[in-house]
Amino acid sequence: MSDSNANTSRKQPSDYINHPEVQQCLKQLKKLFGENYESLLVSDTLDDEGHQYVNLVQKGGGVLGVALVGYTYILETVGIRFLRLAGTSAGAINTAMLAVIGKKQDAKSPKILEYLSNLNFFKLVDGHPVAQQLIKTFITNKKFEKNLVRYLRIFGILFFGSIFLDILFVGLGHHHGWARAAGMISFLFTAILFVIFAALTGYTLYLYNRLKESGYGINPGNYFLEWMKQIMNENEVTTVEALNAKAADLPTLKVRDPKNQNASTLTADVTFISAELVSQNKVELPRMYGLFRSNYNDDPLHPAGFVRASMSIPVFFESYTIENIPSPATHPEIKNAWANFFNEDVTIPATARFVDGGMLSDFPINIFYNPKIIEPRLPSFGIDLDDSDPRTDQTATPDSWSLMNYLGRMFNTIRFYYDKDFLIKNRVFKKGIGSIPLSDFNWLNFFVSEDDKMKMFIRGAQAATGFLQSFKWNDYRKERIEMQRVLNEKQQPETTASGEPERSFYSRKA
Amino acid sequence: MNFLNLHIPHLWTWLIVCLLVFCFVSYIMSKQANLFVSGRTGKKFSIFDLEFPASRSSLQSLIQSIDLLPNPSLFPEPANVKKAIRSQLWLDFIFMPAAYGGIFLLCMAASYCVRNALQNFFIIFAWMQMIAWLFDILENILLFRQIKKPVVMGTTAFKLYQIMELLKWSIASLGLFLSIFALCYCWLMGINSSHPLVL
Repeated sequence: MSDSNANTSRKQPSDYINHPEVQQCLKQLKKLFGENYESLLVSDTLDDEGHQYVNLVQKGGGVLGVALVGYTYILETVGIRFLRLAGTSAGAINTAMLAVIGKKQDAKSPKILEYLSNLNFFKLVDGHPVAQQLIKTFITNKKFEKNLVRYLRIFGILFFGSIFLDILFVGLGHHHGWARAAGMISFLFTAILFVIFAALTGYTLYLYNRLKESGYGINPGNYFLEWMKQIMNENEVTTVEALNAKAADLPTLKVRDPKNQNASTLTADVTFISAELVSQNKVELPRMYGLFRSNYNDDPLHPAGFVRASMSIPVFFESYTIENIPSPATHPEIKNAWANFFNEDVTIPATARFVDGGMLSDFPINIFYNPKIIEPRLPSFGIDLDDSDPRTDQTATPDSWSLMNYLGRMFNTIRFYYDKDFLIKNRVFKKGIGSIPLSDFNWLNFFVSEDDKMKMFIRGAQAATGFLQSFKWNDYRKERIEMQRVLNEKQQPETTASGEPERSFYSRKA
Repeated sequence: MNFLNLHIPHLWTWLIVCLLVFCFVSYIMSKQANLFVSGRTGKKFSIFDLEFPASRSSLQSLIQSIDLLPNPSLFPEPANVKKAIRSQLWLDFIFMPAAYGGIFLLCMAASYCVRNALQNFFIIFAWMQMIAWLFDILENILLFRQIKKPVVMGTTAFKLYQIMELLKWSIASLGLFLSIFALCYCWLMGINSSHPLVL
């Protein structure tokens, strides 16, 4: 799997960690919190080694995910560890590595950096070479669209111009000998243009048919799947059971104030978000494994597939499928699982087809929300990848949007509102979110240079530093308690017209 | 060049025979192509996937993935898929004389209507169809071997295969369209072998 990028020499984990700007971040934090970050306070949940525990959700964003590693590197270095983990797409990749590498109390970032350094991002684009080249040109050449339109225009002018000349010479050929010869040359030139046109059209149709047969995914995503499998296998996570066990394996935990709280009820897990298109649901894996298999032994699924399902960027990657879902007629446990998770009589598909979870929930911080917890013992941290470019921001000119701007805005409103709605209703959760500014990077640029990877890592480290400098656990805790108190007051069961108690929007099954 | 400039009696009759064979064999081949499925999901593929493999290993992985076909009631048996490919390759040996022979005849017909350099141009294009035919035969031999024992192609072999395919298609399609356009022009202008166009 290891390969080098052609453009610049490959960076080693030590190059990332020892980069002066990353070291500068740590210096700033040491200055504020002490040489061993001993005065840093982010959580009431601790292990015997003094690590502070938080829940962590990571946003998706293609190759921008490298910045997530920079962020988590700083968090780990100052002694923060992660109890519950969740992520979507690129966030799911870092989440998976944080979940499977070593033990809960270990720092995982050096190993994650090692895996990332050995990965040739370009190989993730494992589709047809022509499609690869087109994607590369489209992403790296900013004038691609302009040039394409220019070439098509030139070809169109030549093609229709030669047809015009054909007609002209046929007319003139009846009166002038020279025009008869010129007419033949003109016809042959048209024939050559026609062959080029037919070849391009035919090849485009052939590629389109291939795309159709691949479920409208340009890249199979097999290279990624094998890479993720290899990482999981290396860390002895070869089954879903093993993943659940590893994610839940906790050291002895304690709370700062054992008189009022206890750590015994704390549990850990890992969640990857994906969008399932057949039943049209948001699926949380591995929690919802029971939707697709009746037990862990028959036709088992490799957990790397869950990460692959979460990062299936529509059209860019083929959808991930889970086939042979047992029939609910012979496996009532499957029927119960569907009824339990979706609380409705859904038609249970034989095959599930997943695309990127970012379609529905790119920042699934709501899964850490538990209305039963009034006083939090640990915060929920989130890492946001902000690639919105103020230079191309169209918010000031809503009357002059192009069709693409208009459709894009509609799509993004639908796509992001699910997560946004949660944060509007639970504003205190925003205080745990750090945002990494990445507007100068393209999230689909899998041809990213080693230098750009380094820059993204540094941005992540800097964002984490800024976040830790401003995060106040006690204020966060108080606001969470207050928020929950107000919400609980508001959400006292009220009787509806039918006499049934109203259900809270965020009430979830245990 | 004179020795290549054959006089072909009943050229248009032969052309119709070629066209009929071409249509008939194409029809059978299109029916056979319905069996071309592979992989766990029964993904369809075409003969073009065999002619234009994306990488050195694509041909091998495509043929090997036929064996992954899961449900015999939903998909054809892997052995039947391979049999269909083999049959199509054998049928191709009937298709080839009709296709390349037909283009050869069209180019010769165009050459009769012109003189000097343009005549030589069409005569050369006509005989170049034999090269395209040879490439098609070589391609079929390689595909027979791959079906029997799929292997990753060597870098040079893969490059040569790609060049061979590109040349085969270029020669055939240029020969076909250049001669058709030239003949159309000749008909429009009343040019024929008795009153050829002299450049």
